Amino acid sequence: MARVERLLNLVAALIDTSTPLTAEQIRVRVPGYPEPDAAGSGSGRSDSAFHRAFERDKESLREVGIPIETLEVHHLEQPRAAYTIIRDTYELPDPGLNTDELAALHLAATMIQAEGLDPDDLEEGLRRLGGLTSEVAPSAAPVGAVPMPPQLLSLFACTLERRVASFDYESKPREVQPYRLEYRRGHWYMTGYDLDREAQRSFRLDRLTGVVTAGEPEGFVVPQSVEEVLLRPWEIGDGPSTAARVLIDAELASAVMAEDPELRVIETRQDGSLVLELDVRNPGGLRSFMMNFLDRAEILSPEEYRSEIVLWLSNFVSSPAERPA
Amino acid sequence: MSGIAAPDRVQRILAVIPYIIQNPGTPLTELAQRFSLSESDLRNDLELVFYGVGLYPFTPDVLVEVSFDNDCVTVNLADYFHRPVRLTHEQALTLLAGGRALIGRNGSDPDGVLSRAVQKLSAVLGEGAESSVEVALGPADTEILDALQSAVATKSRVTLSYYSYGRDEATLREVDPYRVLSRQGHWYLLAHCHLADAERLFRIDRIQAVELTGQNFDPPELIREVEETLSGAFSAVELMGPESIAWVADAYPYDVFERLPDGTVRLVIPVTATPWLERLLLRLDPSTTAVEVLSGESLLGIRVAAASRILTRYLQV
Repeated sequence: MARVERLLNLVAALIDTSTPLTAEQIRVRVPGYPEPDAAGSGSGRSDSAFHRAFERDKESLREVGIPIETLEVHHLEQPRAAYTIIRDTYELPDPGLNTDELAALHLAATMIQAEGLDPDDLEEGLRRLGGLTSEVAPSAAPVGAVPMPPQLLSLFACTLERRVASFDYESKPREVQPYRLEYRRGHWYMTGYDLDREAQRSFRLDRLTGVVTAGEPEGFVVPQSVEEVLLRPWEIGDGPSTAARVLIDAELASAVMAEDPELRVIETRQDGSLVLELDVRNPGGLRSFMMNFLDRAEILSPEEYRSEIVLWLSNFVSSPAERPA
Repeated sequence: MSGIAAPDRVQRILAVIPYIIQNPGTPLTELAQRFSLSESDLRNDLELVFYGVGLYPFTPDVLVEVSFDNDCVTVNLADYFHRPVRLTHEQALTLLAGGRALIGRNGSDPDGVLSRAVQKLSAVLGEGAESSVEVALGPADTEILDALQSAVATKSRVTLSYYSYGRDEATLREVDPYRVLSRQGHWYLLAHCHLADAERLFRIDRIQAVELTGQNFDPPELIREVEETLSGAFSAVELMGPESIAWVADAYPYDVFERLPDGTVRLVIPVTATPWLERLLLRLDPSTTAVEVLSGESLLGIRVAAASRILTRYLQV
């Protein structure tokens, strides 16, 4: 009997059973496994072939998302592994997507390429949700590509199942309750509650090293509101903030505002230049931000930040570094 | 039968059967279309289930019953397959990320169909799934993005007023827009630029205005791969400095990144334009050195000039 039938019958048997089945029971109920050796032959060759085939089947089914549970049962006083599929974890509740909604999902996921994931995942996912509905118009060529690194997938699973995630970040071990994953400006960030630091933190995924280890499901509760990732370099810090005013020349005004529309504009001058007010906790971050604009922007106030910039720039003018020998 | 791996065929069958159970009598052709399968593959799948799937001891009353009535398909006695399998994390992430990315882009979901779809999808993925993933493809003015997309669709030549960050200058240029796309967190327009008489990639957030010229253009048969256009550095620069400059390796593409025995960080990075290098050097520790790899010339003069220009602005009375 072909492997496809054997796998389907294994799924049916594990869903239908009211008590978990041991490997031996499965061998009897699911056709297609190597028959037991003739009684008394004692070779055990077919037994090991059966176990290999059964292990492989379980692994293949789990890979396509079929949740085969392993439990311990006692049989003749001996503990044994037994297997079952719990309906609630197996069955996809009906999302109630209508044809238009399925088509919209299909189109969106086609236009945004998930780099690093198998394109079949899209097709297979849609089949489970009720079909692919219609052919996607050729004009729907991918417009965007979003990388999907392996850590993202592990953290996504932790987020959905509310498992604590453990990983190394900048070479230090962290334990975090992951709340949300955000893709911004070309990078993935995870925002969550850092258990060691007892505070909400954001982590850039490409700075995670090694594997993500997942804790038990339902290990925490996500708060009602999760703040967005903080990306403005001058805002990163714990101290009190100082309001600084910055003048951006007209040529750069629209680019700066497109990059960060939430910036506080307190004045638009006649020539089109903007005065922004920034809450600065990290003057070094403000300096880096200002260097992006070269001589097309200027810190207006406070005086202290102006003199810091002047001091910083003077470093370069008065003492150009010598190349080390 | 196509050479599909057994587990893949299993998951396909486990998605189709529940649909037929819930929509009995659906024509085979319609099913094949909906599930993007050939009719013969689908018929083979159904026959396999009919002849081979059931429960121990496989008496007729526990076998799956599949009937074709004038090619309309009905499935009975497969209660254990009445719902599809939950999505794998890969499947869920692909769909959710795609949906969230386009919802995040204003104007792509005018009727809210996609938002509803993502909401319904999130509801079956688990509590909190809805806010679990956010995708921002890049900053851009919606009007400009829309204007460019429609110019691409109608093959209309446009005039861009564009600020080139790398060269630190604003220009007006006529372009033939080929494609709008998002890469690495930014929206780009791939277009033939008449000013440069070459294909160029423009950051959409640096386009201040788009105007139709009233002319149309014929796009070339073959549009170059975007990644090819993205590269094109003119020189490689070697940076040497203290540990505090190591972040450069995180932020920009590099050819070489190493820590020398004395703790000095050595980086070789591709550079496309001088202002870009100026900005970078002004953010790095003053003891950092910069040398053009090919010529061996020090580039610190560039840094002195840039710092002086900015200082002039701060020190003028």
